[in-house]
Amino acid sequence: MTPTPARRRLRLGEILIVSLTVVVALVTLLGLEPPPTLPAALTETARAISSGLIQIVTIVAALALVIGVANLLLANFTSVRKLPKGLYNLATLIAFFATLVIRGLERAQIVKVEGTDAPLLSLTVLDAVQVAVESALAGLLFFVLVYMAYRVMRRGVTIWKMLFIGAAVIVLIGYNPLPGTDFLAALREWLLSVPVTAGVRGLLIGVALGTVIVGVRVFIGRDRTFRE
Amino acid sequence: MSELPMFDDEDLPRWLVAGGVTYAGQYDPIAGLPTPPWRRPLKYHPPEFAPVDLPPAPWRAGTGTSPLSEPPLADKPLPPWANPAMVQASAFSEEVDLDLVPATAPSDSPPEDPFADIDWLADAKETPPAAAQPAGESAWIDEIDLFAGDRGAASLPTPSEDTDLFPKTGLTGKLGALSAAPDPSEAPIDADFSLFDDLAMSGAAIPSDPFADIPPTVADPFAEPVSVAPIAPVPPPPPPAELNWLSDFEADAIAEPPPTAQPALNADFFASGPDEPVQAEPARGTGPLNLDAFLTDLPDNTAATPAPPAPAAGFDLFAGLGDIPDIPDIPDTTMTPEIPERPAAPATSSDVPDWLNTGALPDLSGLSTPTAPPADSGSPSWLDEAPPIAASDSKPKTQTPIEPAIPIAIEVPEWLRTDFLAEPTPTPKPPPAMPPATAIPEPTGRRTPPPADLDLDLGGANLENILGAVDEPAIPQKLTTAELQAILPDAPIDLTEDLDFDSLIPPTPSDAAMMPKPPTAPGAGFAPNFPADFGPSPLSAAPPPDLNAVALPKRSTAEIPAPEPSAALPEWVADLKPTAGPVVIRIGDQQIPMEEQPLAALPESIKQLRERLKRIEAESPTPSPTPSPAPSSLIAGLKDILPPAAVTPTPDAPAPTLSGVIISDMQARRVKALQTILSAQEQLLRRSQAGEVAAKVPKRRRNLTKLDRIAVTILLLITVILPFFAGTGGLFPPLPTLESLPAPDQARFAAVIGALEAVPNGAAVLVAIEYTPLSAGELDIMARAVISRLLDRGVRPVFVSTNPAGALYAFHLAAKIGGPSRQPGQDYIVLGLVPGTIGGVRALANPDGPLWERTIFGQDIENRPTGLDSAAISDLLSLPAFVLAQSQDDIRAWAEQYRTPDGTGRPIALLVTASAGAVATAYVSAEPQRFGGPISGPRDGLIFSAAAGYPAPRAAERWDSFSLTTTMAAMMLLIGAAFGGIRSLRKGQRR
Repeated sequence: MTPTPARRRLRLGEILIVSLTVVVALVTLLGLEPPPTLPAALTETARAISSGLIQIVTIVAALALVIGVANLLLANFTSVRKLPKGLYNLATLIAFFATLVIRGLERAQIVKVEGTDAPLLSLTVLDAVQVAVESALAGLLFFVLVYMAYRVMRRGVTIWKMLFIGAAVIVLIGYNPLPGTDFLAALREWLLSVPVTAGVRGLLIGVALGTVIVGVRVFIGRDRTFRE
Repeated sequence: MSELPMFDDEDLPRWLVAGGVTYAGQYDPIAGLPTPPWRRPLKYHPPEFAPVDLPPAPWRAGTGTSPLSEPPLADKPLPPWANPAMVQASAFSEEVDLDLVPATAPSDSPPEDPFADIDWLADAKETPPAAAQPAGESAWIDEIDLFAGDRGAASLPTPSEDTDLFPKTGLTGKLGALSAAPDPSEAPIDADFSLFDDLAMSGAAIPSDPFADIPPTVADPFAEPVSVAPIAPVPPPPPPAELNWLSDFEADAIAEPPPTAQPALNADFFASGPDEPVQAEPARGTGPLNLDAFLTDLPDNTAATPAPPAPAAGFDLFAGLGDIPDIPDIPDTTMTPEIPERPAAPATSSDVPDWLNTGALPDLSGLSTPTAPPADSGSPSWLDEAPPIAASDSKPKTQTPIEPAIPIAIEVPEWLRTDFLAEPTPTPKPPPAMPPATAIPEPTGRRTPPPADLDLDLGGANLENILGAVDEPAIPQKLTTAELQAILPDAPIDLTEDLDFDSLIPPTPSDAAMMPKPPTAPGAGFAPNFPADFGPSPLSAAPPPDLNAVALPKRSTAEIPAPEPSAALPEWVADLKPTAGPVVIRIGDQQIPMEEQPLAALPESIKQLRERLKRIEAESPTPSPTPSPAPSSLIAGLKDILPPAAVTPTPDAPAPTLSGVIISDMQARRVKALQTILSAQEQLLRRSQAGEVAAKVPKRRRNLTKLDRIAVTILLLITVILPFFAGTGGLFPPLPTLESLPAPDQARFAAVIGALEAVPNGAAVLVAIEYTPLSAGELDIMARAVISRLLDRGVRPVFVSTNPAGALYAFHLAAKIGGPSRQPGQDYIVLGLVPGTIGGVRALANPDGPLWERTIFGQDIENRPTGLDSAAISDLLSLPAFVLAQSQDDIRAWAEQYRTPDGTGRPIALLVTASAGAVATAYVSAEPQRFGGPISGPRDGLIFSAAAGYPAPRAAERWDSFSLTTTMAAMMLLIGAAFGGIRSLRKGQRR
């Protein structure tokens, strides 16, 4: 016999948050997708409010980014004492402040590349460090993926593994088929246009349904965030 | 006076070494020694109870022999140091625990015993240290509460449960510390009760019985109900209301009472009027233990002195305690009033304790025999519910006083005449009124603090503390020759002569090895090889406890590493301020620097003891050359360090060949219980240690050098690089052109190119760089073509990104592609970050209000004004936006949120990575009029850039590299699948 769940106590804070959220969600919804029967004045008002709220969201997101950077610095400052692992934190801090200094010097026109207003020094640092590192990482990813696929059969032969290997081989070879294997190119196009597109659409439909469900839960005050 | 050093030129007596005290080198003198413990004022108040009339031991009644089967005395061998003729004796009596007779008992000690090569009692057999005990030099040995072992005497035949003298648990914590001491890897000795603390921390209730949580496989020495001996020294304050001192006995005596347990318990508590205590019969068992004798002899001398009034018989043993202090805090000296009176020996001028002269071991078994309370004693109901007391247990029995072993008239020293721990009390106080038995609260298992008025320093009470509080015995400095002859009849001693006592001992080859060597490094010491140096111990062949269940890694036992002196030294050692002394001795795992003083500085009594011991050692036969079996455990030496019994001729002994190595049945039981305790603790330690070792076992490192991985990597690397230098030799078709593509593909490319061409000159167009440098290799080809085309056509690209790295990378692309001829803010605009991916795109696409203009389009990434007004922004948004996205989320955000306020989708040209191509294809196929593209992947990028007129550099080589690498990767997959499949199938067949 399933025990009767305890009745959830209502708290004043929860009530206020739910009320505010429902109102804001309703106004935003009306501003984004106003029903045709809604009066024009009300629609415009809701749209203006909705637009203003979304713009505030961007500001809040920017503030969150600043807070995230501060938290990153704090965490690295805290961990920098724990040697030798703290060396990584130290490198992060040094890189952060070095970039900040370079950027500040360029903004203050103390360091400037003649002939352009672009901060070429900062961009060169970006190109030399960030782009190079991330590109190399992407290149290594290719090797890792191939090797993992190479070993995928070692832990047993299943139909799904065979399907994976077959699809990968068709897509890879069909990318630029050798002479005499043009059918692989056609097969690749078919794979991408039919099964892959169907699967992606299914994913998008699932994402849309999930978003609707979450929206409804928020709208009726049943979302988990209100209880935490 | 002699100027010989106390330690005989850095050489300690072997009986001290055997006891764990070793010399560890010289120490720089810093300051003088403080007051030794025996000179310190008393911290301890004497008991005010009158001596308890304790019933005799049960075996006393009737036959006068122990109910335990004792063999004839003549059949019992003497320890080698006591009887040369019996050195090789191998037959001990049955009641003497063979564990203590290593010469006879085979040892099946586990091979991983790290102290297997240490014979802790190798020297003790030759030099019985019994006489040296009272000086407090071996107080650490006294931490072993033998009486605690009675609780573990379940395995022994118990004549009655009335033989336990006192505590229920004993100083087991000290035992744990001692047991862990020889192993430097174990917990430091200062954590005296760490073992039990750990147990307590783990949630195990250890109120008083530290072995309550011992696994069932371990014999719980306290599982057997035991009787409670009277604790006379403690004044009995009325117990508090919530006092539950009996909780200590709950686990072992009440909660799990065997059928005969409760009566004995009852009888212990409420024994009524036992006979006058009599001298315990010297047990006929033989064994090397005489610690009991030492403990009992001390108060025994008080019988001849005006001792405090005897407490009423049958009193409440624990009424005065209020709360039984912690087990380790119970000083064993509190047993002093319980010692049965010894027959008055003729007074002589000898000031040495009589037990040193006689060596007779008083049996304490009869002292702790409380009698049953009277029926109307008013005992609590919970005690009355116990079964009736056996008559034999409650009946007082008459005892025959035992004659002293040697009828020597010895004058009882003054320090022994009074209570052993008593302060000088001019007038004996009457015994306090005994609280009614009904006031005893029923045990609840909860510990209660000791009463405030209990003037007993039990905070860190152990034997060291107690002994440290005792005044130095005022032993006369000299004895007359007659007295010495009485003490040592066959050994005339000239005390006026300063002898080098060690010279009396014939040097043996092992002495050289035992001699301490100056430490080569600070803190370094030496580790004597006890078995090799001192020969087999008569006690070291004790069969090991059941410890085979736990396997421990072998540790080197060649040397005992010298640990750092721990902070928690015994009090009597700590008070000596060891850092001030020049000589470093080792006690257990600790090095204690002590001041080296001349031999003359020793008290005369100690010197006498020392001389006597050396004489005995010199007279003792050579130890058996047969190597003694390895000790059975880590703390195997602990039980061996129990001092042997005193050796004295016993004229009244039935067998003349046995001369005084006496161990009673009760002592044997206690020894057995002690061994059980030690084995239990050792087992626990071993288990914990095994767990730690297992936890510290490093994981096997993965072999990162795999041949197939290296082969795959090298092959792929070659295929990537080779086309740039050697081409593919026409193996693959060349890069297709826009015209060679199928019509649907041409439409995709045409839509994007058409969007580029449709932007009017001088207008601003939105270019979203929604990728980071991670996808630069894939999307930079398209971005370069788009940006170059826009710039060339005079269009002002307005770069925007919802990714922080993307915004900066957009600036990098614009500056790199535009070159120094095109200035930011004029030829192109790089907007700042648009935070909030979905919300940011939505806000970007809805031009509404000043906030929108100011936050998004008002300033660029350099915080410079963009110059875009509302009209320009509206025109910007009306044109198709070129979105270069690396992830599906970015595509979704732009496809779903880049709309007009009324929901109409704005035109977008999608240029995405291959991984996001499917999503882009889905959106494009859903709204082909709104979306252009998608251009996805490096292949489309190369085609698009070539079609747009901005071909990528070395596009042909790139294409060959792509073709060769993808083909090689496909081959790798096929080969790997084949090998892996075959291997997997073979494994499946084997299974």
